[in-house]
Amino acid sequence: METSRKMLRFHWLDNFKPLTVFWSILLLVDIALVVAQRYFPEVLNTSDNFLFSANYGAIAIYLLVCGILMATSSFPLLMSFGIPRQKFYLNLIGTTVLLCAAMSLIQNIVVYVGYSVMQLSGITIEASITPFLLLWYCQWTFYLLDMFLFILLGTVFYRFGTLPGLITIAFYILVLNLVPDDLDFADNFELAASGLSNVTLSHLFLGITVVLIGIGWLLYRRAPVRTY
Amino acid sequence: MGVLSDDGRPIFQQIAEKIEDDIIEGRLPEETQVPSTNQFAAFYQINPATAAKGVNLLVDQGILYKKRGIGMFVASGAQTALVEKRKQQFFDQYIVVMLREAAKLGISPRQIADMIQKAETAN
Amino acid sequence: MNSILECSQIAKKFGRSEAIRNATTAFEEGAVHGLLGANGAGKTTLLHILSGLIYPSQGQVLYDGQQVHDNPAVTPNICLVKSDERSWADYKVKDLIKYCSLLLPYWDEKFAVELLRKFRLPGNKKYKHLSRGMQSMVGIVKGLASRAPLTLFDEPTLGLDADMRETFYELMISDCGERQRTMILSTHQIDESANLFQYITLLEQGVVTSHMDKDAFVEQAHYLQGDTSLLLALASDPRVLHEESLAGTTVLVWYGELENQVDLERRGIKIGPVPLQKLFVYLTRKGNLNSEEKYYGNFS
Repeated sequence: METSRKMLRFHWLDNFKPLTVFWSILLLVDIALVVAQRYFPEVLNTSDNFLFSANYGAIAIYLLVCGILMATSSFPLLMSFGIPRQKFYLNLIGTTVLLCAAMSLIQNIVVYVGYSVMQLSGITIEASITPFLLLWYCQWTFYLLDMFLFILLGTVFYRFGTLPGLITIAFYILVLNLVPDDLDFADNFELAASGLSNVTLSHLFLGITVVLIGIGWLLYRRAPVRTY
Repeated sequence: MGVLSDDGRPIFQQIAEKIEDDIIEGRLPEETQVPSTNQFAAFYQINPATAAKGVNLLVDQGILYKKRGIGMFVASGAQTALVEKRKQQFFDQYIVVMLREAAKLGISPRQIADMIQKAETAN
Repeated sequence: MNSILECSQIAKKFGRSEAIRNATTAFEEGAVHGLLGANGAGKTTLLHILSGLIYPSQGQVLYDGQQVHDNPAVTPNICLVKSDERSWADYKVKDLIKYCSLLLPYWDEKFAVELLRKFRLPGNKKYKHLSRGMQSMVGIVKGLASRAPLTLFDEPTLGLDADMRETFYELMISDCGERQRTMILSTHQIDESANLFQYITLLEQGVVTSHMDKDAFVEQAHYLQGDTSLLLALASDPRVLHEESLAGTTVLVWYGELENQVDLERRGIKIGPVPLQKLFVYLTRKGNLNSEEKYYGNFS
């Protein structure tokens, strides 16, 4: 629909500069890492497999912040342009899905290209690289959950204030602590994605995200826009 | 920017009276076009609807008429009609008020007549 | 005149405080409406409810007979210019205008550029770095260039110098004349804006107590000035909003039906009109006197 396209374009215009900066920095760091691994491997002291693992964390943090800002900043902004709440929310879901897909796609390409470059320049890669689509899917579901958790957090802050927001953070930390340690795979995406059992985990993430989307709608249905 | 009286008389009435004055004093001859409501609104910095109210007041009285697609025009015979109307109002607006003020100051009608004579000869 | 916006039995509670108790009124199409009310009367809340940004606790708002809130057929026709837009803080002026042109369906880009030039707004500055007056002006540009059929302004002249306020009034007048736009304006600059308004809506302590033609509203009140001995008898009438005396002369502000006006004048009492702002002040003060709300008692 006309308005949906315009809102997507809004999110694009709003985000492409910070995204460009983010990826430029990330790529520079990655190139530096590849060079370092080739010429000074002792300095890095890390296995080849996990060369790009810092990227995953960086992307997760970037998306988390993005999520909060969409809830606290884009919501009142778009509402002041006469967008009805359902359209805003559907568009938010769409934007999140696309953004996470794009980020994970770019990261995938970085990993694949990075490893090819490394192999070409003589560095030996120990383990096999996870299939492209599987890696993409695992990343995507993780980032989706990540972003949506923080969209909800931002919404709680915006709608209910600081104290409820902090309580939500405490709740998140509590739940995170309940998660078993061997699931700490933000560092080992590629490893995790190649193990079939962890694909189930990705499905689980998707399921939880859908639930969060439902909760989110309950919060947005009649959310008031602040008078300032 | 046009200046309106601060005496609290409704703005639309003041607009109507300004147009009447223009007609009586010959600034708006019969069958000429009167400025549009938007022009009045911009000039006196008032709401166009208020300006329209004033203009319509005169349309109702037959002083102005509308030429479709062009605008408002001064009706023929408007000047004479307005002068007559003002003559009728003259008594209440000026004579009665003058006499009341004179009574307050203790000036008799005779003295008023003398004053009028004096003013005439001074011209 | 046809009503384009109707609200019935609107009430809004924030926690335990009632911001709006009963707002029931209709706004005529194609006119400039003045929304008057003291600080805290509920103007900002009401404007937010009318534009669909806040849901009322009770009651509904109809635009052209259709529900306003989250109705995709209606919300693009209503534009609210807030007095304080914190969500704009980190955006540059030119980006805000770009988003306006992208998202507002009736946006007039040419007019917007003309206004930006007229207000001398710097495109590259972030909203939060603008002076209060310039921030208001960005809002005004959004409101006027939006060309929305129903535009609501919440104290648009905050921080504006006298020159820019005049410019704003001139723009309102010319825009109103040329297009069938309905505008609702809340302002504290009542006398300055009085000539803009065709209708007045009075909001007192969360209740819409009046909505009528501005001239008719003003004509309800009169100054009565004359000998104290003559006016003393009238001073205790409930229609008296205000009374002052000095050296044998008394002035009464009378709000309501005034019988035997001719008789009073003949007895030397001067009867004159009350300017809108003064009338508003006296009504507000009388309302505060009558109000049952305790203010200083609520610190426990």
